[in-house]
Amino acid sequence: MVDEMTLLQAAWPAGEPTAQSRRQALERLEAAMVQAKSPAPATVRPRTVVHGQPTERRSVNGRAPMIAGPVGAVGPPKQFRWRRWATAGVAAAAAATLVVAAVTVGTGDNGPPPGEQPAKGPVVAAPTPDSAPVLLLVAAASLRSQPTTVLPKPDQWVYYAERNFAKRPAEVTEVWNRGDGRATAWLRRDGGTLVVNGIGGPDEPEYSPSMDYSVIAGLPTTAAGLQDWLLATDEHPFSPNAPVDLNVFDATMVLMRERILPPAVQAAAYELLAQMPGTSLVKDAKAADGRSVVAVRWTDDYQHDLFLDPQTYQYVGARWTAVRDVYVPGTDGTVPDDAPRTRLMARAGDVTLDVVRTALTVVDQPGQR
Amino acid sequence: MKRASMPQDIGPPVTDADVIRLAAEQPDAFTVIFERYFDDIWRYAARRLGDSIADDLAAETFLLAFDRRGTFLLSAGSARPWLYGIAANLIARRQRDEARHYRALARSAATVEDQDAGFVEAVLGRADAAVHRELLATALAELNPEDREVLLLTAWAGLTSTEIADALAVPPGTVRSRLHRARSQTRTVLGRAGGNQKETCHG
Repeated sequence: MVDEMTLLQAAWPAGEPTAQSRRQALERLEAAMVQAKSPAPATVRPRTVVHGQPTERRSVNGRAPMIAGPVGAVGPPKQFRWRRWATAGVAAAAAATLVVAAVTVGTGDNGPPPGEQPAKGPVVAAPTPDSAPVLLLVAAASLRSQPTTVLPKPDQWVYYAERNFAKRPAEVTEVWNRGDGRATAWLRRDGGTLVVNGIGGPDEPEYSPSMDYSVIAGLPTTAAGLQDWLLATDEHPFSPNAPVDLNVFDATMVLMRERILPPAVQAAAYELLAQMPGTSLVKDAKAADGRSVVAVRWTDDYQHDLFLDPQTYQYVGARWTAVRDVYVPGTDGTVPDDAPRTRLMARAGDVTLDVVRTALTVVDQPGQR
Repeated sequence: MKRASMPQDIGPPVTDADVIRLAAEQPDAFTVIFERYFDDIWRYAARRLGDSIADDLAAETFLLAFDRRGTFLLSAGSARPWLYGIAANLIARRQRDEARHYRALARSAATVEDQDAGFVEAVLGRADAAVHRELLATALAELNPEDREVLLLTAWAGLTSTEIADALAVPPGTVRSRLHRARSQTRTVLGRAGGNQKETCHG
């Protein structure tokens, strides 16, 4: 029986907003957010005291009245609305500045090489959030609204290139991983011979985490699910004695570094990092190739920086800097106070990893860029 | 010694309430709400007012929501009904546009492109589908605006009576009676399709 509700639902198909309408709406919201962050011009109107008072609301449903909590306590100042209109010009100017910044970053010599997948994400630069969790959540939300990435077919290859500036001269890595995860190929650094190797044979360990795109396509899309999966894979935790946070942070980086991820999986990775205690954000970091990036930072013996593009939130690279002398731990994971110098792995200040990704794209043959 | 921490440090998925709580101190976090719900709100506005007005209305909804983020009840969990409530209030100010939209829908009822071999066509056949579209559009235009809001938040936004009550700040009982009224009035108008409606509906 088709009732009137079903008819209503089916009568006119719901359309989709255009990219332009979405972008314009986001620009207006961002202008308002910029306004909310900057103090009101003193000449316009004195601030009315509306903050600091919890806003209690009476429930209309006969439930107990609820306090709006911390948000209500801080409260949106009432002047936002008039301020937005009164200073619309200022907001537009601020938005314009941000767009210029985005263009500058995108067209510099250090932009992604032609081989890299076209970066997806907000077209207009959002003001950079102030903390790592917020940035990561914004990045995740942006990724979740994106269409699914095209993953390689089983017989296609994912070309991945990276420069490690921790080595002098910078070391170039070029790798091709087959879509079914059963083969990998790389360029030998001595003269550039291409070596193709099977994976999963008796003597060839599988990649961990998996490089098989039929697995990658089905990875968990929630933070908790992804964490369980990462920690359950063979080589993770990296070290059984390492703290869970370190394993989560590194595993997330390993996952993103040379894999094309479905946007929802990458979003889950960012949400996982967002929930990790102890991260901080460096808003004006520079990757080793000079690219402007934001760094999500987590520190133990090393300062682990994960570099993201400030506009598209895509992975750019990473840097590990020893913050103190680091020794090879004993079997119990600790380092005795009298550890010999021969067990020194890194001196304080040493940069042990400083990588920038230069390509990540699907090709048909190993050796193709 | 390295700091040891347990996996329990990693909490449940990030809820809308978490995000809005965060947005109190870091306004940028509100972008997450936009990314999560803009498409939903736009679609709802587009079905009620047409695409071009939906652009503006959906944008306005998120600006207002951002301004009023302090009024979101953190215990509510999802921000979706709250956003629909804000959109509904904005739509209510556009009754003339909405009436015009339904008139346009009624006029164009026979020419709706069924790219997806529309469900209505599949069940009722093409000719009947056109008749039903026209009558539905007429019914929507004739409904009392408050009844129509509840009907469409149910049919097009998929909200429950309780969620609608929260969204519109009216008691759930009122929501249910408005929905009842809107549905029976719509049925009455659809009845004008003629005596063959019952048979075709069984398709």
